[in-house]
Amino acid sequence: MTADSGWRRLLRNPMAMAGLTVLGLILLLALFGPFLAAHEIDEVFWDRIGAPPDFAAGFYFGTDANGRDLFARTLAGARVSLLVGTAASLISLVIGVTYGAIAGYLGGRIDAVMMRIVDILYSLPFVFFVILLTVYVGRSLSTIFITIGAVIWLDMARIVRGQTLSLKQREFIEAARAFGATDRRIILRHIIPNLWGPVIISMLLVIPDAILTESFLSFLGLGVQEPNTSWGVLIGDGAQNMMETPWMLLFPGAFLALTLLAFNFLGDGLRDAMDPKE
Amino acid sequence: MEAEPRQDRIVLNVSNLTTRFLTPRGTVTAVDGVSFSLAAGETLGIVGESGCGKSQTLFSIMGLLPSNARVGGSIGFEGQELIGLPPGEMNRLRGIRLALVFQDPMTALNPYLTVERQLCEVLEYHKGLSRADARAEALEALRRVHMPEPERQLRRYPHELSGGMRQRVVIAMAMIGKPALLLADEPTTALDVTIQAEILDLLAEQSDSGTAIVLVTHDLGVVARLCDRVAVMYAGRVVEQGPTRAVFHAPRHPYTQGLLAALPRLDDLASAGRKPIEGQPPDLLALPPGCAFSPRCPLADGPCREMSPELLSRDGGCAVACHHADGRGGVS
Amino acid sequence: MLSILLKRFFGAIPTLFVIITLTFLMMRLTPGGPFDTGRVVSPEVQANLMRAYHLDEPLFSQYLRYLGDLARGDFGPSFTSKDFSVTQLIRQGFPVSLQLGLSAMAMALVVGLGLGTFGALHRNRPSDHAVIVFAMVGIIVPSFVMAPILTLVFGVTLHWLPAGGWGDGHQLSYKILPVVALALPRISSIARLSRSSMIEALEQPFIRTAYAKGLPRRLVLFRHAMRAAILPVVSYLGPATAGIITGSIVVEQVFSIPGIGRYFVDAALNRDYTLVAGVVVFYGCIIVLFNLIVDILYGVLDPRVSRR
Repeated sequence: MTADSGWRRLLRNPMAMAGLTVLGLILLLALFGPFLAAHEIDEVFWDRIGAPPDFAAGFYFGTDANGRDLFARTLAGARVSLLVGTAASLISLVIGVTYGAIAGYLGGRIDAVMMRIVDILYSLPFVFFVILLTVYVGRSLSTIFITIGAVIWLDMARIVRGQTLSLKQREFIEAARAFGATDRRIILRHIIPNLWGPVIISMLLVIPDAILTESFLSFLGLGVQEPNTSWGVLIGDGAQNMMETPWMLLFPGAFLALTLLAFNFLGDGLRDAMDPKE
Repeated sequence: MEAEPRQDRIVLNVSNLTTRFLTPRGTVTAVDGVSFSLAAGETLGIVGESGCGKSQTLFSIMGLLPSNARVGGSIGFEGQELIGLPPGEMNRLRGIRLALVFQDPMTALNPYLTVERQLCEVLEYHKGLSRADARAEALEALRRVHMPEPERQLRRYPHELSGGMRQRVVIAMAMIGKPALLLADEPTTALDVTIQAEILDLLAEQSDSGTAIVLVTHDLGVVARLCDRVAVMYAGRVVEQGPTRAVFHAPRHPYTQGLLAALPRLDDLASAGRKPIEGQPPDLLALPPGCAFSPRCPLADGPCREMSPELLSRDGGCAVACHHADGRGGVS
Repeated sequence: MLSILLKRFFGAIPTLFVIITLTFLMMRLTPGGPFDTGRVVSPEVQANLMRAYHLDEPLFSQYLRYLGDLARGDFGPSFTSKDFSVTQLIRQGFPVSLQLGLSAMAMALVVGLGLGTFGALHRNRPSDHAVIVFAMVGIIVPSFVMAPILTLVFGVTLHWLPAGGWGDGHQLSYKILPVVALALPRISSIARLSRSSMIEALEQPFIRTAYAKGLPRRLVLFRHAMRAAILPVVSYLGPATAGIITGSIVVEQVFSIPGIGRYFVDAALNRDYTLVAGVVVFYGCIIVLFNLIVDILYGVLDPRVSRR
């Protein structure tokens, strides 16, 4: 297989590697945020409401309109954004892989109907359904990533189905069938373990989608609720206070844009590495 | 010189045409000092393996080369020098005074426009005709290429036509302005054998009506059937040139001999038949010193590997570029 | 042509049903009904409310009733706004949202196609790289970051344009910033898409045919290459519509524009179930309708599809 040479091509792609490095740094910042920040995320400094960055006092990004350390809050937001991104993509992974593998493996009419359903869902405004779900179910963090995951598995299902269709023709599947393995066992034991390559790529494309959706919801006040925070919440606060304290908008906005950029570079690099056209 | 009696009707006079491409790996000379002239109603065949520069010769004449190409020499067309002509003036000639027929009619036509649109735009742009007048002429052009149901075809899109019909459209498109010169790049290669014959007949009709034709092909049978004269190209140069009969009857260049020997012959079915020329076509970035054909040539000797032979006129109106062409050997 | 139209039309109906059914099921089956807002009401009041809104009927007959109401253009009452029905609110907000959305779409098409074509024609030169960078910025800076920044720069700091509001609906100055903010991500996508499709189109053999016919560059580009290059952009119009509708929620919020998006966010924040559901169904229908138009347009532009 060309998977090995594909990975090597990826490692030689400077843009993709830059993206990977940035993502690694942001992940580290998110994980070790509480140790790096000089202040707690919910500690209110009454003497510093909406204060600009002050390195000496440890307010690297300044404070927000409630006098809380924006650096600590931005890193906390990173934690939430990355968590939502990963959790939602894992949920979409489970749904998408199961659905795609079943459709691709069974084939025929069932496959046609299942993929027609995916086509229909594809044309729906899925953000609206996420909002609809959060309105009915409530706005906890878990609701948010479950609902996002529940609507963005479509790409995953398509990719997995295609892969399954081609895997199905291979000898070892034929052999397993000849030995009387059940469909369920073939899908679980033989098809799904062989899908990792393309699935990892589509995971990387799903994560920024999920992060963006969460930020969008939180910006509108429909996502993560106080005292918890996320980049979307911070950007929303920043947008309301941008005339007096523009840094409240710019720092979390820059983090979000940088993350999306890094995912974009990495995704492009992966696509080129797996499907070298030029 | 009685070999060129129609001097006054010369349409195209190419002399010392040299086309180079500047590539990252170096300069490639795709066409190297090619010269020929063509009178009205005359057909010249250019043959050779792929990469020998025959198509690039056509594109050089049409001025359709990519931006990294550099053209030298002279291309006289109806008394006008084409090399160095401003793009606007070249556009005024292209498509109306000199036209090109492409190899693959499947891709040469725009799939998103109707046949009518593609035919008419030539006249609308060049002659300023109204759509109605252009349409009448387009219909006439389709009739001249024996298109069945021409009114119906005008309204259709290329994908609705068969391969042979598409090539008729391409030829009609090239001939719609009644050009003095028609350049055809492997016009039958992409077509079925039966349709090939029809398209060749069609080209012969254009020639009979006085159009000069340069036909590029790797098919010697096509040349024998259609061309008054033939030029054999190898590695960007003409190695043998002359009246088709003379060249095919008594080829003097070992490469021409090889090409002819590789043809399946009806009267020789019993023998082992084809003897393809051994070796690979040359790498234009790394041409051997001396005669470019020498690495594959059965006659090659010392002088061949040191000095490139010049194209010299021989008797019978032929010209050959080979040290061994008349037994005189090396020095000329 | 008519049969294709009909086929596409009937092909869109299942999608419409999925939208309506999903919305209906979510409304009825998720825990926490519309009257479960923590307010203490007596059982009789509760029962009366249930009867008034037909919530005591079996699920399927509720569904049929819902379908019937929708068919008559009745999206039901709003739970939080006493004076207006959902239909009235949508009717009030839609003209504003439609104007905003269509302007943004038009701007995205014109600017995006222009930039993409420009990039393709200057391939690998500095001006092309500028197009690529611009397109990347539009993709990584979401509208809810871009819209406040535009307001900050052009509204608050430079005072060139109003920082919010919609004016009386006829003042161009109020529309520029929202339309630009809404169009930017779509401009980027269309520029990227059309740049690569134009590069591909220019390499097609029929382009060389067009040059061989002596046509000037302008005609070759706009008559021959553009027809091929625009097709991927046309297929992108479906997702672009969904993106513009989604983006309009944010933009209407940031610029305080009285469109459907604002009602929608307020309704979602106040848990106004019927209004949220009504807007989802309404926008779902709009998207289905637009996809239908795009399908037909694609068929017109690509003869190989329509005559198949």
